[in-house]
Amino acid sequence: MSQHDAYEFTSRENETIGKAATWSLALAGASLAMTLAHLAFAVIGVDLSGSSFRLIVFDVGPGLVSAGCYAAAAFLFAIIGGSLRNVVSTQGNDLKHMLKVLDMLHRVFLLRIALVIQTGLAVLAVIAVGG
Amino acid sequence: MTAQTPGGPGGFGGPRLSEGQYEFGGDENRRIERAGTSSGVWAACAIVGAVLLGVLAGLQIYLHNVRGALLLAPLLLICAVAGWLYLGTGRALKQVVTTEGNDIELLMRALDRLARAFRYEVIATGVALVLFVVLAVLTRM
Repeated sequence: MSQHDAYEFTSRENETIGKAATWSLALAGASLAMTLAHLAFAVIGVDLSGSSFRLIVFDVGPGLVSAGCYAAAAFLFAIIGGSLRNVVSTQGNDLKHMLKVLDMLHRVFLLRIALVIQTGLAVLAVIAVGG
Repeated sequence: MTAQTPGGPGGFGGPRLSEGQYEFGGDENRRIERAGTSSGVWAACAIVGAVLLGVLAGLQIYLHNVRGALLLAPLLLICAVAGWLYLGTGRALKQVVTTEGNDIELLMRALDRLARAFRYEVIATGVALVLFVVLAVLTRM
């Protein structure tokens, strides 16, 4: 048995981990709400009768891209929350599970970095289309 | 080169979150550091994102779409808040790797910061959504 297989989190440590799990799941819900808000924003920002094609591209494009990224983030935060709950509720391999959670967290951050890059590209596209 | 945990065995101020004694090895440290680095990069990106959203709002105003500019404000708020919060989380995760002594305590502190960042992001998202709806309704007329 390796050293990290042998380590078991104490009840106080589990309390901290459980708190992170709860808020991760809450953040998954908030990200889902943001997905819906971005979809709504993509639609209500557009005035089809009075707007030029440029303005429609300006409003709908970034909204849809952001909604997709938030939906993916919601999915990953739900997985992180579930994995953190597993660390608390299971016995054995606690550190192995924890490191998997940190790997997942790394992926969520990468996804969010991609969202910012996409937003940057959307701004450049808007400048190219609307400028 | 590693440093000793600041402030004695407990490190930092505030109550201890763990009594566990464990020192992470090479692969474990690499994975923790990777999560810490991506958290820091995301935080920097979120701050840049907030600036970009400001630029986007400026462009909306330039294109005579004041309503579109106002509706970007809630997202700008989330980016700015998240950027600030995750900078601290990234730093706390990196501290697990760069210091020696009581890694579990430091990991628990990093997780505590992460939980706090999640909590404030949920609150900021709620506030932003309400602000979004209010602005959408007010600017409809």
